[in-house]
Amino acid sequence: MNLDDLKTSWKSIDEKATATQKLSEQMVLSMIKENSKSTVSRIQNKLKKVAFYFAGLFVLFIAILAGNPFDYSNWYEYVPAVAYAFLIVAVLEIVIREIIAIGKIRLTKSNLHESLEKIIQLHETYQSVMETVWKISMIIGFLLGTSLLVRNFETYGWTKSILVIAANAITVIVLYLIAKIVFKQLPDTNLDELKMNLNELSE
Amino acid sequence: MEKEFIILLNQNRTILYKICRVYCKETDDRKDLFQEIVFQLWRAYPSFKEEANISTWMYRIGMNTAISNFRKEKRRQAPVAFSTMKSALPELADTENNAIETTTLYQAIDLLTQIEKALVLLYLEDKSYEEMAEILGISKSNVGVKLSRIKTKLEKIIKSFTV
Repeated sequence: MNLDDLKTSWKSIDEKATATQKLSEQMVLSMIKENSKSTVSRIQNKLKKVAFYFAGLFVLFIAILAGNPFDYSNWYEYVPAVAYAFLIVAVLEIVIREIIAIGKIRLTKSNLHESLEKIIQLHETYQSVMETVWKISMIIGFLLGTSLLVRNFETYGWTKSILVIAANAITVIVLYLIAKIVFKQLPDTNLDELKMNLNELSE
Repeated sequence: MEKEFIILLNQNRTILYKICRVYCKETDDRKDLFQEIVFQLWRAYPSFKEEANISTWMYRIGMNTAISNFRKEKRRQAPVAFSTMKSALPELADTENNAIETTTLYQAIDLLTQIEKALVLLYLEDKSYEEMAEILGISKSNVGVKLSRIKTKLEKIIKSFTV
């Protein structure tokens, strides 16, 4: 059996496919409605969830600043919460810009090479946004802990205060490192596969 | 526009069936991919008139979707009406109903990489190097080099089946 024989058998597949029933209008319209599976849509949906989460966090910090539930008595105790609010606004802006940029991309106009490049770029941008979000969340955690301890610093004295801040920082760093190790064990196989395909195409 | 699109889709549905068969082994995955390609074609339909060749347009979008835009995910719970619709899609070329040559061809193609599958599919469809280059976004000479390598690989795979 050689490739020419196979080409002949391929033609028989063509005939078989032609003999299949036609797609009804209702069937096609249902397919068009089921559109949330594409990579681009999935990235957009994930980003929308991130934006929603940070919008909620923003409301929370505004409420903290307005209601003072932690009984802050000095102006500098408010600094972390104000800083968080600004950071959240910055993240929200990045995420919303990303959602708009992704929405403008039309993969259907590209050839395979361009398409793969665009998808890889989307994935990488998304990952970099998520990494920034992750780091910001860690810093937020550290600052929040510190702001709650500030009022006790006078009672603690210098040495104990520094030790408490250091312990807080070490906890956050350890958590960050554990998370980094865990995420390294779960690589994005889709992205690797897409890069492999692009390399193969470019070779 | 909807009716025009459906007529066009029906006239060229064999292209979609073949892409789905080459890229997905499982029937359910094939149906999911088919559906995703139809959606992508619909999205691209308003700009279709700029294209000269319908089959080149369909292959380009179909392959883009199969390789770069379609990934297996946990299958969502589909509504009953939709499941019924999905089962109405043709069970194209299931191996048990095929001739030995066809089964061998599919088994051999399954062993190729995503990009090699794309080139083999276009080769089997008698596409010119120019069309292949346009669909894949690579040069004509690159198509020639790759295709010759893939043919050798495919022949080796087929020989290993027959030994």
